[in-house]
Amino acid sequence: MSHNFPKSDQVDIMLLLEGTFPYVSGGVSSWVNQIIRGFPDYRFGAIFLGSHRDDYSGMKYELPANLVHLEAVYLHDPHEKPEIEAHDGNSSAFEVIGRLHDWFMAPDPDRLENAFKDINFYLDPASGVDYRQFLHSRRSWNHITRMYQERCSDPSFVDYFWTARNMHAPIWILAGIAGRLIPARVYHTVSTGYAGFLGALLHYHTGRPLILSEHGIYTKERRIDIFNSDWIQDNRNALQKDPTEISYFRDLWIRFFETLGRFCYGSSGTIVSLFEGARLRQIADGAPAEHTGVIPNGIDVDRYAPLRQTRPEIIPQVLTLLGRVVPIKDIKNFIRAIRIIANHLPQVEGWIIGPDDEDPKYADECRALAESLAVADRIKFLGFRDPLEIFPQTGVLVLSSISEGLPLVLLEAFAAGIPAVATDVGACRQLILGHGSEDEALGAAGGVVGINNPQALAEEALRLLIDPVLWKQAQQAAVSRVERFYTQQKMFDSYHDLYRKGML
Amino acid sequence: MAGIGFELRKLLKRDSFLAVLHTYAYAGIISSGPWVLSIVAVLIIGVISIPVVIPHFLVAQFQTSITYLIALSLVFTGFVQLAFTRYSADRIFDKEHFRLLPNLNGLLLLTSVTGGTLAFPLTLILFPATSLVFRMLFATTFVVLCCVWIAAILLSGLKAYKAILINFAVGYGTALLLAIVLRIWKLEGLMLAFLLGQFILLQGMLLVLYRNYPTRSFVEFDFLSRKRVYVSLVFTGFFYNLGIWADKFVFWFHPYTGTNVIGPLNASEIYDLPVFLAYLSILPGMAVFLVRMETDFVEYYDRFYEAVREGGSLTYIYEMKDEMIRMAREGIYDIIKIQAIAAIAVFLVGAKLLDMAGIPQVYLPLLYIDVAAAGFQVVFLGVLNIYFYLDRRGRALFLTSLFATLNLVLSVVSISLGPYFYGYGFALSLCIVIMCGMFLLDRDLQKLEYETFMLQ
Amino acid sequence: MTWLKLIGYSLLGEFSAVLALLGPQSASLRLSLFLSAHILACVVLAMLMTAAFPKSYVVKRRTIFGFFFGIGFFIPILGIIGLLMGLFYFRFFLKEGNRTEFSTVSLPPFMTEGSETGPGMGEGGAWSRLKASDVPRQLRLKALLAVSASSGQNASRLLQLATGDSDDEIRLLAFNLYDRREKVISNSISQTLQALREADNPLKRRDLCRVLAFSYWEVVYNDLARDELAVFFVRQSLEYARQAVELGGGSDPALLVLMGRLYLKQGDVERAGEAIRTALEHGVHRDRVIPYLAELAYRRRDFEELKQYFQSDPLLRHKPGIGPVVQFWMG
Repeated sequence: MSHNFPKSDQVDIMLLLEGTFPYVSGGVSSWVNQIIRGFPDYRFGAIFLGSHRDDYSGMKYELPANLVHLEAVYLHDPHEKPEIEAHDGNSSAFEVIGRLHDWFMAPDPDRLENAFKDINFYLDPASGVDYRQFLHSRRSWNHITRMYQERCSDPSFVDYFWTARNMHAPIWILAGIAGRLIPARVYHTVSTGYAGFLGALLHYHTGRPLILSEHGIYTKERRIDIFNSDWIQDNRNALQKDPTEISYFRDLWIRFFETLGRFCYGSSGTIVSLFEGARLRQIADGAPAEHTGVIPNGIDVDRYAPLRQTRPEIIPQVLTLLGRVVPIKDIKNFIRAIRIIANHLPQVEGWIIGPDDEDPKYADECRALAESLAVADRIKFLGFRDPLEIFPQTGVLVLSSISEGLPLVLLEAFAAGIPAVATDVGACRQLILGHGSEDEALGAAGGVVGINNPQALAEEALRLLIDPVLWKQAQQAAVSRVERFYTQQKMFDSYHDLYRKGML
Repeated sequence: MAGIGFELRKLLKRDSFLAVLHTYAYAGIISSGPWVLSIVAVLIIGVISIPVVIPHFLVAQFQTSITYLIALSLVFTGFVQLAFTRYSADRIFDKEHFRLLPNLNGLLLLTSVTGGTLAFPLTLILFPATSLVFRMLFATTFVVLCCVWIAAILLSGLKAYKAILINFAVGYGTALLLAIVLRIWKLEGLMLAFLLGQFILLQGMLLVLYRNYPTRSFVEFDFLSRKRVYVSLVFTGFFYNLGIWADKFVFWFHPYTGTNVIGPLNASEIYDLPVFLAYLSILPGMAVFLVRMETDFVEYYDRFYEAVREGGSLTYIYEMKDEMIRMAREGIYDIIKIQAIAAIAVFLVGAKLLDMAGIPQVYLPLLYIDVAAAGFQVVFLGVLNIYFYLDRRGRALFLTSLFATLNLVLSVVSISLGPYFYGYGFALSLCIVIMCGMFLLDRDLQKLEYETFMLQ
Repeated sequence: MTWLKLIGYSLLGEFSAVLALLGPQSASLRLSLFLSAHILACVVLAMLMTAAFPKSYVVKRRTIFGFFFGIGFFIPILGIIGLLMGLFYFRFFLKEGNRTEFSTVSLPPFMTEGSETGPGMGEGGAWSRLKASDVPRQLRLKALLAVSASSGQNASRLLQLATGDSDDEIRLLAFNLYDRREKVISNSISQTLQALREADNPLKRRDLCRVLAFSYWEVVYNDLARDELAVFFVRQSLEYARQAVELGGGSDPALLVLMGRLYLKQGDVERAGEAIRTALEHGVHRDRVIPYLAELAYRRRDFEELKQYFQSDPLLRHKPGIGPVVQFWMG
């Protein structure tokens, strides 16, 4: 695979992408694609950080011409391990590590030891703790056992040991990458986590600025993942387990990612979020407020505008949900809402546009639910379709997700002249009802409801479907809002500014 | 076949002094039975043949031939002893029991072919004074003995000590009986009796194996594949067996001490008898070794590794390791203690024993030192065994090669120092190796968790 | 028969080879005679044995032949005899198949680590923590997890409340926990529907309909569906309950009680009363249905009858749920 990668020896902007472009399709990846293509005069480089090579089946995007350098590193694949040999390890460096773990208990961004900012701490065996020392040295062992005895509330030592190892091993891999990556004038990462850590190291090592554009809050998403996951052990037996105590290992992973997040925030010159709520969240998580700013995503309105003309006169009795069939999109409540609407509008249909192979179990559950609610004939899982084809047939767009950032699908629907009903997550409220007096004056582009409330969702959608006047008003608001605040050009202009300043 | 540890523990549970005695006796018999049986059988055959076989030196020739056959076949199969034990243990762990028999057959084939290719031509050439039949019998017995050791290795790897003992008893018993009948054919008759006894012994063991272990194919050479063979174990086995026989070879072939008996084979009147008698005294030590290692040490060894793998807390891991160390220490000390007692017993009655056996008293000091040395050998076995459990093959190789070298060199030195120093080479080499081994073991066990977790 | 003859002849050849060793000729001549006869006999016997070997164990014929020949050659006579014995055993006595290996299991170790149990929390504690928005997030998360450990309506309501929380994480966790409860019943319903489609005899269909009736009810009972959705579920439950009755479940007291409760929820007092009465006829314990009879009386505005029902069971005032109602009416 790697012989298809373009290679260069210098780029203007180096993108640090964890689990997104080009191997994973989704909102963030599409955004990255959009950005690269939006600046054809800049030379972009990208380094893709994945988990295991086998987890990705192939590139989901065609590589733009101005992406002149691409690398892929798989953090959890077995990397070349240093030869096994017993040795003591560097005592002063381990003292620094000891102090770091004490710092975790009360993190203060100004008091983080400078040692961690220097990649030689991770690479130089003489002055720091290199990979070999981490894996095999006696001091490393002593440190791990001390941490276990002081902090771990889960009895299993072997699980603690391997969790600690697996969590930290990518750090050294990333330090190695930071040491050898080709030079760039600006580093741009789209998440914190491991990519953010890499960005921070690169910033301290080269002195070039780091831009962070957070699309979803990494730690929050990892928290959700971790809550849902079975792979984190809980070894307390029935007598010891207090069900209110979250498993120690879950906690450990969450705190680890929080720390990585702080490290990245502390080293970023500009921290971009998509909407005000996200920005406040970043500040709460440790981002210095003076570096934060909001640049909402923008879309190519002209692509969807013609659809306003090709629409039928009457409102189609179709509610569409554009999104992957995964739990975070809460397809189930959409189905329940359809059930309620069907009681009033017998012709209504619910279309689900999006791939259903990411979580087959969940897709099956949704289908089962549709059946048990006796709406299986009106719920259509259409798989992946071109929105341009779907929009004209849609009456109202529905977004029932339990967690979102700034969903582009809403903007696209607005541009195509379709109002929307969404749950109050992420930026949905501000997209539908407006943010700030000027924006709010444009009107409501649909309805906003709480999550897990199919009754409210149904009522809002019904209101729009049966009242053509209301629908027209909502359409008006939608179109004006997207044309005023969320065009692609606006976004490109903001980023152009950022890049220009960074490359000085 | 339940593990021997299991059985021993069952016996020990009855918790009376008699039960403990019973356990150790049982362990002693099954661990040392085979050795003792072969030594005793050969001696007895000699004794009963003397009236019938004329001239008497033919009996000596018989006994020397058998001794050499046993020695050479043990050293020759030494290359595969440990490696094959490890191979079979690995397959059992992988739950691939069906591989055991085919690979045993493969190994038997390999050994027979290589052993035969060496033995037959060499025997034919090096024994010109003997009859053709004798030479054929000699070479055939060599090949059969090699097969016997290999089958015995697999059986002891499967902890089927009882099966080994019974088969040895039957085999040597048959040899004895046949000797009574065949001794009229003199040397060749005695050789034939021994060979037939070994053959029956081999068939018996193979029958036990075939009956109890499933198989899918008949002959396999999987044990030779690169990822399944441990080269260090190959050489460890060789050096261990070589070490045990090294001093005897030195005494046999040194002009001061050895005399020619038949063909190229020498014996040493002075050295041989005391040494073999001394080996009979290690019965209690072997019993203790078996009981302590297979029950107590293994119990905590299992718990330690289980705690590591299955999520025990660190405190618990440390505790189990401490217990394991304690059991190892106690086991070794117990072996030392019991062998000391055995040695003292021999010191007390040694003179009388030699008298009864018709051996001149001048051998007494040699007997004493040999008893001590044989005791050391059991301790050495204990130390090595622990290293095998910890899978520190490098250490085992180091210790056995050191032992072989020291035994060889020091035995030569002891000869040049004079008769009072005979036997000290053997004893001293073992002493040094034990010291080394225990020192290293101490250090290694201290760092066990560090090495288990970090140095994977 | 030719087999045995061939074997016999080869054995004879082997013996004669050995006898050749005993002859009076010179050593080298004897040796060469022996060798030639021995090789021949070995080859023949090896081939015979390879052919006679049970097919199931053969992976490569050449290896087996090599084995027989090698052993036979290097162990004169005895090798052949041993091999023949082995072959005999293999062909006639060996049973193939896997042995189960037994192993002893040790007692699990007593764990001394991490034995401190955290503060327990009941539903009441959880409610108060969740409603107070200035309590730190960690504690509120713990409250949610405490609630999820219990089951029932209150827990579902609490989780539903928490899904409207201002804190993102609380919302998500609450949603997750709520969804887990709901999923179990949903899956059961869809599986039963599937089975119902495939059911061939009326008895099976009756049972499945009964299960479906109870499953749909359970969603409503656990407050996992509200408003119009609950209406739908009640309707579905009734539908399947009716079908079950038609298929012969008319004498099932639990089913009849269920129908009573469903009608009550729909507000159909008459049908509810009828169902409960039929249930009583079919042996349901009176104590079980007193609350429903009381409610029916209440709806009919027959307060005397209501009080009579409550009087008939003196312990009712202490039961959870209905207890306060009884105390209100009876003083």
